[in-house]
Amino acid sequence: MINSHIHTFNSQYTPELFVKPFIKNAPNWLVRLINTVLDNKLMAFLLINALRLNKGGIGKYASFIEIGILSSQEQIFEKVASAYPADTKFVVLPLGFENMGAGNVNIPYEEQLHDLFLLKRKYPSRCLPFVFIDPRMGTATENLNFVKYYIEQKGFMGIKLYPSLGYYPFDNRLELVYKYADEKEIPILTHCSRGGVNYGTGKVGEPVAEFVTPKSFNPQPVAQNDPTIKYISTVGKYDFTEEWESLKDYARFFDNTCNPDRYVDVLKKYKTLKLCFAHFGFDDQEPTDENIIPEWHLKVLDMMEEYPNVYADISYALATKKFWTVFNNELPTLSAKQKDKILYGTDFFMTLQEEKGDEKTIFQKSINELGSYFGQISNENSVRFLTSKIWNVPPY
Amino acid sequence: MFSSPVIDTVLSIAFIYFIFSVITSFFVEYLTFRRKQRGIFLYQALSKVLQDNGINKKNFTHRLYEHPMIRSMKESNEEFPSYISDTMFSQCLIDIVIADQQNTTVSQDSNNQFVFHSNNTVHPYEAFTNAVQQLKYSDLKIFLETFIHQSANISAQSSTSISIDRSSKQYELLQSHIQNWYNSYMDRVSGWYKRKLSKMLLFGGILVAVIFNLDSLVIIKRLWVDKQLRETLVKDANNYIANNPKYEELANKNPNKLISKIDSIYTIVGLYNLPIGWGNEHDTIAVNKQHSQIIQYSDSNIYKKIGWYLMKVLGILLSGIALSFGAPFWFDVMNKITNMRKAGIKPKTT
Repeated sequence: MINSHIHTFNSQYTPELFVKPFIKNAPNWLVRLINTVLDNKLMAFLLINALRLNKGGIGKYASFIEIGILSSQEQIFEKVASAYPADTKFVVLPLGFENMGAGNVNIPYEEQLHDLFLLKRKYPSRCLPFVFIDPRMGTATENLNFVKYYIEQKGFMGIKLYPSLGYYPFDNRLELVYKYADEKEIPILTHCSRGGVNYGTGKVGEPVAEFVTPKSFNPQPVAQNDPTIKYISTVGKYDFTEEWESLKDYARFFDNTCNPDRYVDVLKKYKTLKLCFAHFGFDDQEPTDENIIPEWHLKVLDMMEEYPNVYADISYALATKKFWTVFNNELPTLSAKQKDKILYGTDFFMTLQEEKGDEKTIFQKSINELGSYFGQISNENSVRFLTSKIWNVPPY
Repeated sequence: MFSSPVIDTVLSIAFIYFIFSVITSFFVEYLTFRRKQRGIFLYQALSKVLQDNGINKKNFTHRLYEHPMIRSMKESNEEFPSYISDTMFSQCLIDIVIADQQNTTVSQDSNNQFVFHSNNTVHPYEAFTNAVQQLKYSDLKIFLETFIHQSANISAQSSTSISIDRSSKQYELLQSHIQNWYNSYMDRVSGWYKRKLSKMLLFGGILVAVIFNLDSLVIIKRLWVDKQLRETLVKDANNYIANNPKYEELANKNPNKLISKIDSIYTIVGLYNLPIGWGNEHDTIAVNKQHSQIIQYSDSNIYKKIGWYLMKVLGILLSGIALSFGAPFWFDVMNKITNMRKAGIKPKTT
């Protein structure tokens, strides 16, 4: 079986103001202080154990922080692997945070990839890494060469995108990457949830009517009438060093970049692009109301019907009660085309923030809820998604 | 035997500082050990030269510590080894620089299993040179090129040697130059670490002074007027020095002895009611010089109280600074004064 969505990066790869969106109205000095405290192993250890004292409350974050701060990529991988049968494969998704505007990182993104390559060398048939690309890393050609190097020479199996780090998926500096991926049938996995890194605790609320997105594939990556334009540099970097007036405004900007609608122009141009919308469009905006089906989820379902290679994974969402209620209701109504393109992934170790986010619990729950369909989404669908003209999924 | 109230007071206070300096040193050593400070400091020092997050986006320090040879020295993932030998450093550095550009590639065999290939066809010296040339122009590149230039200069003198021999010789020279640099850099790093430790000792000294209410001004006043106490401390200090002529032997070879001695002496300090520790009898102390007696001070005048607090802070700060000099310093002071009191006798230490 294949878990198509896990992370192994730790806090060493994140910038100094990374946690800012998670601490409502916190001034930068406080964010830096918290970062310094978390950087100190002894202080982090004390904090984690202090959190554990509050069972049922903020104590649930203890394991999440412990893994994120105190573990190496290898340890995180081995931790998640221990929850599964010995032959389970994992799609490992790195993230590069240098361009999100939140300051310097301790260890550059390329070192993260180097460590991931070493992990693959240790677990060649179980660790199936993707390479993350941010258009702000270089020119269109440089970005293509970067992706090609890791895929063709280092055995990385696909491409990871995370638009809500502050870029639009139709950025013209990604066009050659899409072209290459489409030709070689290389899978792309993109974050698609109204929650995550840059949302933090920010609730987006209703979309802003006058919010106009920039024209697709043009050299200007940011909408000029963006209400948060004052924070954004010309290359599309959101300036974390500004004291934000509104976390909501801030979250809205990223919400617009991450919306699955932003991929419409990409898919019109590259119709057979193999693209997986992670988290199936589920979000933290209305996490408990089971009557509200997330708008993005419905959009993703439509795109799966319309385009032959649009997939979705159920990662993170599967750790929430709401997802199972919605998904179990809609599963009988899905077409074969849609059912063939749903993937099992968990988003470990992000899921440890959820009350029932333990990996073994999630795994068992998924088997119980999906029955025989679990075999399809965790094996056949995943193998089809991961197989490209360059790499096949290694046998069990 | 030469003796004066001034010299005896100085010897007594040096003895007290010595006792509390040992406590401070233990406290600081414990903190640095618990926080693995030495290892972290070494990592940070190497990062200064091997980290290039900007231009090449490479952190060779991180890779160095991930090298199996160095990694095996870590007790756990969170720890950094506190010492890396020059040989190990040079071997690992050369390895990681070569590996960075060596282009280990991946393919799949007929069973779709991933296979890793390392294109290791050239001599390690050539591979190192090529790898450094591939780096973008940066401080890191200049730093690594220096070792190549040093090795290349020597090689020109032996240009008659055949290629393999020349490369091997260059490789040996490369290792040797890296080791030389590493050793001299480590000398500096040790100096930086000592400076950092001295800051920690100051912090520790002040903390110990606060915890024990070690107010130098009060203690000196008390020693000055209390002849009996002074003489007792002088006698104990003399005995201590006579029994333990060298601090290094005492501290390094028999730390338990040091602790037990300190323990017994601290008991004496307690028995003789030195003005140490938090209690009313010391907080409001004043001295009547004429009668060489201690009297209680119960003035409620606000200005005098403020003055008392200021003097208390000053007294504790002075003690903190004194303790930060460390136990060896105060042991040395005691030794010198003891020898001075024995007029005509040549000091034992040089």
